[in-house]
Amino acid sequence: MTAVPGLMDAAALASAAATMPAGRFVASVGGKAAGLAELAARGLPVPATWVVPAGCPASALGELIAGVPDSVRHWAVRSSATVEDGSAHSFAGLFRTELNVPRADLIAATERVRASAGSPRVAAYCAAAGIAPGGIEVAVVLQPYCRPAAAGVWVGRSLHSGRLEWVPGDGDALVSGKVRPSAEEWGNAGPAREDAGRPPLRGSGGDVGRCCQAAQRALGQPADLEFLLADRDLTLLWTQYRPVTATPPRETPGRPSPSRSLIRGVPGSPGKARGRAIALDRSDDQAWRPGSVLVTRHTAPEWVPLMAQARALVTAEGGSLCHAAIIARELRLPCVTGVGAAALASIVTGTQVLVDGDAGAVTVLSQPPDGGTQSRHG
Amino acid sequence: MTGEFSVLHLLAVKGSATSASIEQATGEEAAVVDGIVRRLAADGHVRLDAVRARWLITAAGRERHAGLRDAFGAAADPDGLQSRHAGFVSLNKELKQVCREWQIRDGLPNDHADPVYDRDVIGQLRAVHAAAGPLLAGMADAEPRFAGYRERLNAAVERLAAGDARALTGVGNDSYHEVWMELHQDILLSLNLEREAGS
Repeated sequence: MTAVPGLMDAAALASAAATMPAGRFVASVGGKAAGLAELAARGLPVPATWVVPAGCPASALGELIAGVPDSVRHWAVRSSATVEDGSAHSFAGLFRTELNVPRADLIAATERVRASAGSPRVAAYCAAAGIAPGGIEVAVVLQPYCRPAAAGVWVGRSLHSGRLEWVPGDGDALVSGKVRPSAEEWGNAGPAREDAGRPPLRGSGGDVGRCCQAAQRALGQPADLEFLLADRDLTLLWTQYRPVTATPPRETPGRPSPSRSLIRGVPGSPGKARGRAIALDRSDDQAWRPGSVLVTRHTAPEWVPLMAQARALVTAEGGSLCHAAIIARELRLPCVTGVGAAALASIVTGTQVLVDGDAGAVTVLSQPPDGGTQSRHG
Repeated sequence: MTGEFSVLHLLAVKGSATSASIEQATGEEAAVVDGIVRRLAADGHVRLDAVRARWLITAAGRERHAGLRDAFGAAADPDGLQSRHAGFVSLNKELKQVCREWQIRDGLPNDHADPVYDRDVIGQLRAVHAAAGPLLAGMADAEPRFAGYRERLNAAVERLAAGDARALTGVGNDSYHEVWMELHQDILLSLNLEREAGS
């Protein structure tokens, strides 16, 4: 029986990464912290980081967190779940993150992030994914917080290409779907911009897309990366790394549609969310991506695992009393039901939509110009 | 009813299941279930999701399931099951109304802070559950598989009464709604019916 590791700063994290068996290391610090350690080990700059390991008893939290510097006034508190590599990606968006946490609230915020492992959504996902309840533990990553100028993600397609999406300010707006991100496709030749006329995103070290390509080369493989550009001088910092597990469907550079169209349905579950739609006929379709807006005719028990991973749900059939709406409410998932078959067919995969579960309306923000036929089976 | 059909039917209803839950639901020994799923996998009717350790039904498996159902039936007494369908559809509406009241109160999520309100909704559930009793018994007479739903629904009511607020509409915990939805799907698949509008 080994003692529970204490609070780790960046140096302790790097040393643990180098000396502990890989499985034990990830089990202790979680996927996010392990990714940060890997980035730092390859010479890629990461924010100052402290880790509260998984399994740390609640009674020891206060003492542990006393070890972070008092001089840092505001903190970002993020989960780092200890699930195996293969499924880590699937937990995207299921755990709690708190930003701009005052030093005095750091312990309480850490407790809330740890407690998010017991939320109904996580329980639903675990049950559906065959992971024992309580089989997940959450390590917590603490980093000094300063609102960034921009933040985003890179999804690698190959060692030399990938898709860059970013938003001004915090990257969490990207995950929650509150803001429509800007996007660039990067290949060997450089960027193919999606917003015509806008220059590619640049930090103090040059084009961010080029930095992402360089980071992939340093890591030796295509990667899912998260980054931020520090507010003061646009210094690029890497905030997350995972080896690529699935390649996103390729979308041709898009133009906003001339007119936004509004689809009326029934309010199924309250809340609003914006995101990329994935239209599916079958629940085992490999085109599904966690964090997307699930668009389907109706739902049956087999769809629950996807609902637990979805950002929002749109169905053709059903009203506010359908099974889908009941589950969506339980999962706090914005949901519009009963839009009808014709309207549903107009929301093809790749469409950016705003789902308003309070009003029972879906706004189509932009259509993929290829009509979605390529991406549907991408 | 053959073991092969029992397993295919369970997977058609649920989409996927672990070996352990297949054993529990079908009442078959582990070795028997293992033999069946391996045969089904060899024929391409199911596949193992190794990461999640669950068996999934494939498109070919759904075709196979429909073929067996159409040839041999999915209930010992299909007419007996069919005659309970209309009663189920009517209760289904009532149950989902109860679920919504449990989840939403005056347009806002129910925070379960008002025991009087919650007790009232639990009372409504008990009324639906009581009305479902004879219907469920009749379904179990028509096909023994349906007896399992009755036991699981009873258990969910007991858990709710004992203070487990997630036992009515929870997800991933064999809540009343979850078992009911599975029962609904089983009826539709067994009788080869389309989902009723609004359900």
